[in-house]
Amino acid sequence: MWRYPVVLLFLLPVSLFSRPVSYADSWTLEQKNEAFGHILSLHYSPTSRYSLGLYAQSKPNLNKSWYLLTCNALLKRWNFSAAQANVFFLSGVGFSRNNARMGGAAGCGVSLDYETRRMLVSYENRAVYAQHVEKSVHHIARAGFSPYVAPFDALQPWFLFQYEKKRSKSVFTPLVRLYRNNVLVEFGISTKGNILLNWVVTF
Amino acid sequence: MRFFLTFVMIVCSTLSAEEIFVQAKGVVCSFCAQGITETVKKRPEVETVSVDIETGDVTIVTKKDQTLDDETIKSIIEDAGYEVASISRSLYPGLPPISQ
Repeated sequence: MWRYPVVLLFLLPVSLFSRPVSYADSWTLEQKNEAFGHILSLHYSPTSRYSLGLYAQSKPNLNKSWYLLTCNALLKRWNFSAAQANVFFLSGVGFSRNNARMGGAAGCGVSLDYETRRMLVSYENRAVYAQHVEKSVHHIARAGFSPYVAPFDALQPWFLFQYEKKRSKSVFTPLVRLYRNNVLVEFGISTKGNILLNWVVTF
Repeated sequence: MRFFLTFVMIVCSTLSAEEIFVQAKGVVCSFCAQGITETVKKRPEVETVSVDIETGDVTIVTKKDQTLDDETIKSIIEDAGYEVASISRSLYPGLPPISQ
């Protein structure tokens, strides 16, 4: 049954990204296209505390990429009556590819978020060492709101602002997030003209 | 008459499904609702489950002659990654719950 998502993972010419951990016994397939490259990830959460998965990320020109086996952990969650806050630890090891040159790769990071039904703020960083390809720390901060709360089977829009920094390059992207059932889609255009298109499916 | 009503209530309570109202903490989005729904649905005692994202209310209807005790419900919700604030029940689906 899970053969098809895995095939899809390797057919896509981009790399993978992940919502770090989902509910117990669930899969999450996620793709992110942004100013700093493309990410594609597939992970399985045996419990709501951690996930194991595959992650691939490439530079915008697709010639340089790295591929990781990931292990993400929910370090702490605070559940409030109408809000939630999380601390995740992200990690992965694998290999890199720069045209025909191969090398080792590893990455780790921390993801923090606080979300109510109408407002969210988050911060994430990812430190990556991919031999011949990448050595960087990528910071991503987000804040946004939703004009209303929608039922599970109805569309809920969010308006977000994303600030990214990697080395000396900064990108600011206003974006729209659409939530419905188990699907999330985000799209936006940065102030430098980069198109952002992300989607997440949990099943 | 009193005997008859008591008899009817006892029969109804043994034959009918149970409706359980859970107030869950941490429910903020449709992914949360999906996580709780899919986790609760795995229990063989459960007939239906619905989550109100706006209030955090989780409504569980059990199969006939089946029930879930409070500790089991807390365990299920915590497995999904959330917490239980309160649990109330109705033996007669559609009628107001009995707070505990």
